[in-house]
Amino acid sequence: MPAENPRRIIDPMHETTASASRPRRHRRFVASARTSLPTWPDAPPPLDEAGRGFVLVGTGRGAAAVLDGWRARAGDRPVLAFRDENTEESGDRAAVWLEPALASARTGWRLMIAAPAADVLRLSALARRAGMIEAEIRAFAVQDGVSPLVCVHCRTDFEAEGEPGDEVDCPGCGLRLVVHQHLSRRLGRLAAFVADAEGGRP
Amino acid sequence: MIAGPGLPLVVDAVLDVAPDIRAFVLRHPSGDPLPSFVPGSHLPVFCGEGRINSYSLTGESGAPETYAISVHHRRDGRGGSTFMHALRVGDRLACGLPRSAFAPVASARHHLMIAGGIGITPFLSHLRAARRWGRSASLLFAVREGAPVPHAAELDALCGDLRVLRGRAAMTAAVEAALVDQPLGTHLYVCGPEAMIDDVLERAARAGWPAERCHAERFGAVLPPGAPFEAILRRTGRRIAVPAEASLLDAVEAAGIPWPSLCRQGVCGECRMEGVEGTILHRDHYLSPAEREAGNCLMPCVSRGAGLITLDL
Repeated sequence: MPAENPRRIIDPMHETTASASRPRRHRRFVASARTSLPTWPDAPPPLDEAGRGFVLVGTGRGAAAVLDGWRARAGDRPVLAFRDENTEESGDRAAVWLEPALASARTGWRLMIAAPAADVLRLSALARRAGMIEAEIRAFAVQDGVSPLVCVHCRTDFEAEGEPGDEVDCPGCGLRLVVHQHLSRRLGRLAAFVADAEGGRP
Repeated sequence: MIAGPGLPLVVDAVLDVAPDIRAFVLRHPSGDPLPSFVPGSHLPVFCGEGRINSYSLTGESGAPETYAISVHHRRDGRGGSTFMHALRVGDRLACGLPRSAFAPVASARHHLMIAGGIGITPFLSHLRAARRWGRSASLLFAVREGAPVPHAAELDALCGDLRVLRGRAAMTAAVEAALVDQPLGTHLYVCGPEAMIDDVLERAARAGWPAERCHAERFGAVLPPGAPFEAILRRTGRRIAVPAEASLLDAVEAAGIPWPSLCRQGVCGECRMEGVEGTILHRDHYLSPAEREAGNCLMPCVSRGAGLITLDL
């Protein structure tokens, strides 16, 4: 794995005050090396040369160039590729495209994703559900976007601006949640639970 | 010695499933049910004169009333299979508990099994479990030209996608074709002669299969003798010589130090020694590449030292 992103390291002794502009950070979070948070490489990873064939998916700004680079390295090996840089629903469209693509891919193939982090999480969760393992998936997060979250209380899936330690409002149950530094690889979402759970609130 | 609790068993039935391959049904002397086991497990059997052979359990793995094993008589072997083939109904056997080293991966979308000769045995329990849990499985089975197919009727009943292949060329072609046309999420299992396992794993790697998807069960081959070397026992300061034709495990035992061991072929992992210093010549099939790299543990039944090594004994 590449070096972890220092942005995700939160000093457990560091305390900040809540404000409207900057959400309050949770105090007890630990460095991401000890959590299930993904670490994103700073540059696109090379094509996995061990693969016999490839499924390539690119969404969001800058994905096309990355995909072109991978496709060139694939040579005459089979490639199934999807890209959509511009539309709002590119993540949805990629997900719809990916399922039949994975059904026609064979063991020995690799999945390479260049997409905003939220799409990477969602698409790689789909791939795991289709039977792929970590060794067969490489991803590059082309831009920071919103985080895909799941409220552990009402199980609502939603997207919001917010990184681990930030607080967000659940659109399902209305609770004020803290984004936890735990990624469900099955759901492709960060878990969020009620902020100040120990604080005596009802 | 057999590590852990032993299991006394009595031979309940003997039947020949192919020339030189004899199946044994074993039960508890009191008729008690036997421990369940993970499919692909083997049973350590005390075969007289200090030999312990491991035989794949071929029967039902859940709450079995009997255990079944199939033994290929190897006339050029160490004598264990000759001992087994001399067994009669009613004879008693000292066994260990079943050990799992070749389990099916529960999350696999499909199970591709490749067997050569007597290497079919672990797949009998795999296939029973696959049938019970509705897992998708296919089997390529290499059988020597003209030889009968051992367990043919059982295999037919258990596996809807079974291909028996005669001769090396047919097997190679079938393996090559299978490795490039499996659904995503397939796991590969291979058991048979050493050369066949190496060949299949190499082809799988070339076809892009990650090592995590490839599982092999080896019988353990007879290794050539190595160069003589010496070992220093750190705790006592003793120095023991290991001649070319003896293993480090033999030498340790000859020095009067009891040490756990089971297969003595570098397969089972029972005799693992930690805290070793010096240059290790690994010859086992047990340690991971990372463990070998670390250079501080070895399997003394097959692995050796170069010059002088230090043991934590």
